[in-house]
This record gives sequence, structure tokens and C-alpha cells, in this order.
Amino acid sequence: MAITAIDDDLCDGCGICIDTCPADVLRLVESERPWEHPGWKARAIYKGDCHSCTLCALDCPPGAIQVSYRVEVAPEVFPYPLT
Amino acid sequence: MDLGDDTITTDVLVIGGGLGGCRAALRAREVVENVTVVDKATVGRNGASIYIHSQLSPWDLNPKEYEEWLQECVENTGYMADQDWLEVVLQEGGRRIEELAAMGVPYERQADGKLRYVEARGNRISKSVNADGMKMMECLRKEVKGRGIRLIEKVMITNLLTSDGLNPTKGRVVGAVGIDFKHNLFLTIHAKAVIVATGPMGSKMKICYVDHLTGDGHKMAYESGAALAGMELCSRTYFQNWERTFQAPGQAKLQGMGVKLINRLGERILERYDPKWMELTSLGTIVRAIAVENLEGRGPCYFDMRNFTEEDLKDLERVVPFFTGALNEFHLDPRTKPLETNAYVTLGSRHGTGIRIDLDCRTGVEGLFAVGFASNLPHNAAGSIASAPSTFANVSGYRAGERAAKFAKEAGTAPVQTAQSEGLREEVLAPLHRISQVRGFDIFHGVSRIFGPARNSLFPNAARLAEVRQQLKELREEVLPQVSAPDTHELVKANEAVSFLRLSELAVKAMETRQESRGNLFREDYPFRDDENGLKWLLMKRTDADRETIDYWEVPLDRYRIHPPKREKVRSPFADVFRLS
Repeated sequence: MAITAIDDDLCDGCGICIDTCPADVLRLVESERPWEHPGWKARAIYKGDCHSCTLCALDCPPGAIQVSYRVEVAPEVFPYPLT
Repeated sequence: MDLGDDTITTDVLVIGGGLGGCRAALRAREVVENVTVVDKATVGRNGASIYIHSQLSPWDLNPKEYEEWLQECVENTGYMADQDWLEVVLQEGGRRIEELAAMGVPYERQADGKLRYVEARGNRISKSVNADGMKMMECLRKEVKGRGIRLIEKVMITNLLTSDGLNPTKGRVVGAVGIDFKHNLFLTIHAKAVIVATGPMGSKMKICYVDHLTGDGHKMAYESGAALAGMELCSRTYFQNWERTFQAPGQAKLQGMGVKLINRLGERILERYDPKWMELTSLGTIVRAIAVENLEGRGPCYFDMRNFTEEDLKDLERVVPFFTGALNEFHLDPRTKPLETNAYVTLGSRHGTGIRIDLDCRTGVEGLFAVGFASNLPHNAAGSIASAPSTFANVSGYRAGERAAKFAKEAGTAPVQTAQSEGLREEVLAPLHRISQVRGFDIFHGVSRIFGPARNSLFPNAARLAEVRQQLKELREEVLPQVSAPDTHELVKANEAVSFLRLSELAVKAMETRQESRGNLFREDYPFRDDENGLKWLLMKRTDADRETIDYWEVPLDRYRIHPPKREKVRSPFADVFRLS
């Protein structure tokens, strides 16, 4: 599941999450709804690379990022098909 | 898309800023002026080191205890340990922990202020101390910055530069090149000495501490002529998929805390596979045990923590907060219900896999050093001594920093071959100029699809390995040349895929070569540990641009203090309980 939500009310575009993310998942983009949330906002641009380490959520000063430990595509588990 | 260029110069270049890399940089800085640490992520939020929870703590041992620790550790490695290194670890490890404590690393202590010893997987007599790896790395980051060490982050180093412009080199290593994906630059670094501290090699399996550790350091060292040891042990086994819902690290800590591994029938499954060590057995044994239980219809298997106290859970929260965080998210109380655990396998380095180094952390290629889990953990080799990677990173990091800095001072600057860096630039950036839908991840997925099934990864034989080798070759020849990258994020992954696939092929070749079952390698056609012929490390090396050799390092037991009681063939427990048709 990885990053499940970024709260634009809380995100102040500080960019700490971008430095924190070891998988380079996040980027700052100009807000898509500037009349509601002006400025720069964090976005999980490369969401497929997120491995739910939760470091971004941990380091986000206003607590804008939510991450789930749930794995969207779990590695195949045993028993594997043997043929 | 093309990238700009930047060039920097340093005395000592450390590639990777985990525990080993930071220790190396700090020690090197005491000897030379100019030290640079390059990291693919951000130091303090990077790699395997932030998930460290314990370190073997040889602290104030009296001579009798020292001998007991040594004996236990050597036995644990199946007598494969480099005992010279093991003695270094036992003699220097305590001091290195003391230094980390002085930097502010919050080790757990008893009421009287002394470090609190705990049992960890793999050991009974020798003990470890606990500290949250993330807090430890935060302390090290502060220390590194405070000492005027240059930190360059969000840069993937891809290749080494050599004085003769060749890989493998007959000269010395004089720097490295890589991708600065924060500033979209191709970076060239000139250095008098280089330390590889890139940690273990893993695949992209959504495993938080290894997903971005893809063996880049192993690959670049191998290309330059360093030997890789223990590639045959490269089946990376995990059982951190919980409740078929989430993944979280921390199982080794649980193993040390008295967890019971049971099957659907409530049997403690390790009575069947390793009655001596039970849940303190190696990762490879546990994963094979879970696989066999599942394949024979007694699965799924569970981690039973119903015997844990409230205090145990608090302990867990302090040391592996990721695990308890996940339990909270899914409202799981392990004290009332066992947690289902599932195993899986991919190619990746295990204890014993890595760059071969001597007691000065030299790789055999002049000017190139390696530390921590980028090396083959020589004190532990194919064993599973408690906290082996973290302990070794701490001890070897310090040594490598000192030796590399002294080398840099004595050797001075060497000329750089411009043609080499230009050639590498073209090679590294090639995926930017291709147009296709194939991405670096497809290579990782391809390797896991080929190697992952239990028949190939856990219970291989000659025929299955030959088939895997052929399929990996096809992946390299047919798919790898198509990998494209629309931006530098994908360019990094494309280059990671090159490293990973290269090492995967070497690993399978090594598995075919070792005709016995040892450490994490089980061969269905050789289901025994052969101490008569097998007490040797398998070394792979490039001697020429198109020549690779497999060599052996016979463990010099005659010279060592601890000897096996007798040298015999020991049947694997899996030989008698299970056979794939």
C-alpha cells in the first residue's frame, strides 16, 4: 500500500520527506489546486518504489504523510508452484 | 535527456554512509584532511544500518570467557570463519562500541548504568547489546558533519576509475563515477583511496532495508579485479511476511526473545530440523523449515509470542519500532494470537557473501578497500554469529578508514584516464537514450521469477541450476539491452539492474560449483556438509576483460586455535525429511 495519503492542508512543502526517502519516491510539485492549497506540495511520484519504510511519515514535521505497512503486491509466498 | 557534469577531488572516498562507511570516514578524517562520503540515500535514513538492533559486545572478557566466545563463534560458522578476523572482532569490538556510546548512541543499560547484555540469534554464550539503529545513525551523521567530512547524498556510484584506465586494473583505483540524481549530473570523483561500504546486495522485493541496496559496490569492485567470496550462499531467505498482510523487519530480535515457531498443528517445527538451536537457528534453516512444513501440508506456520510479557513488548518497541508500528496498524496483539509468517527467497547476499578483504580491509586491488556487509563478513563467513554484519561494520569500518587514509597519504595522486570516464559516462547514461517500455524493475522481477521458486532457490540441484543460469543469460542478452530510463530516477534503477543481474549470474555459477550443502546453500544432489573437502571459500575474480576465474581459499585450520573435533560429512536435516519429486 505504501504512502496512502498526503494531507495538503498540513504539507507545507518543506521537502524534508524528499531527502528522507531512501527509495527516491517523493518530489515537490506545484499545487494542483492553488486556490485551496497554495505553494509546493509533496507527491509520491514514484509510488511503485515505496517499500513502506515509513521514514517520510516519521520525519514529516506537520505529520502530513500517511504510510501503511500493508504490502500491495506481496512477494510470492510458499508453497510456490513447483512445476 | 542528457546530464551535466561535475568533478570533485578528495583524499579518501567512502561509498556508502551506513555504520561501516561512517566509521571509516571518521577514522580516515583523523589521518587526512579531505574525506568524502557518497550515499545513494541520505545518511541517517539509509541502508541496512538504520535497522540494526544489536551488536555483539565483547566487553571486559576475562581469558576464560574470551576462549568460550571464540569457541562458540567458530563452531557457529561451521569452522569456516577467518579466525584471525574473529579475534580482531572480539578484541576490538568492545572498544568500538564504547566509542559509539561516547558519540551518544543510546545503548540499553542496566539500572547500574552498565550495558545490558542480551541473547541474539546464533549465540548462547556470547552476548549482544541493543541500540536502535536509526538513533545510532543519527548520532553518526552528526559526528560526520561535525568533523568536516564532505557528505554527497542522492548519488549512485556506478563504476570505479583506475590508473591504467582498465577494469580489471593492473594499476590502482583512483576514483569513481556515478549519477547525481538530485541535480541531474554525471559525477566524477578523483580519490587517492576508495572504500566500498555499500552494504549487502538485495533485490527489489519491498523489503525496507535492502530495496535500494543492489550490490553496486560488489559489482564495481569485482569489475576492477577484487575477488568476491561466498557467492554460492546468495539465496536470500526471509520470513518477514506477516499475516499475509504486511512486511516488517525484526524477526532476529524476536528469535532472541524466546519466540516459538509452530505449525498449524501446534508443533514446534524446529524440533524436526534443528533440535539443538531451535528458534535460535539460522535464517536459512527456518525458511527451509517453513517451506517444508507448508509443502507437506502442515502449514501455515506461526510465530508464537503468547509467552511474552508486557515488558518484552516494550523492549521490542524500543529496539524494532517498525515491527510494533505494523502490529499497531493492524490491531494485532501477539500476546493473544500467534502471527502467521511466510517465507520467501530471492537472490541476495547472505553472511559469507561479499568482497574478499584482508585484515587491513584491502581488496587485493591497490587503493580499494571494503568494509561491513559489502565484504564477506570474514569473521563469520557462512555462519550466523549474532549481530555479525553490524559488529563487523563497526570494527572493519574503523580499520579501513585508518588503512585507506594512510595509503592515500603515501600513494598520493595518480593520473586519471579521461577516456575511461568518458566511456563509462556513455555506458551509464545509455538507458536515457533508449525508447522502450522496459524498466530496471523488470530485471529485478525477472531474476526473482526465475530464481524464486523453492525448487530453484531452496532445493536446487545441478539440472535446476543449469536451467536458472540459462534463463538469467537470456534475461541479460535479450531484456537488459532494452532497459530504458526517461529520467534520472529510472536511470539509477537501470544501473542497479545491471549490478544485480551481473551478481545473480555469478551467484548461480558459484552454486553450481560448490558440491555440498553449507551455510545458506542446500544442494538436493549433495545434501551434506563436506568438512573433508568443503572447508574452503569459493572466490570469483576477473583476471582479464574477458576472463573470470573460480578459486578457493582453504581455511588454514592448522594455523588456527580452534579446530573441528573431526572432519566428516554431515547430512543436512533436509536431506532426510524432504525431497522434491
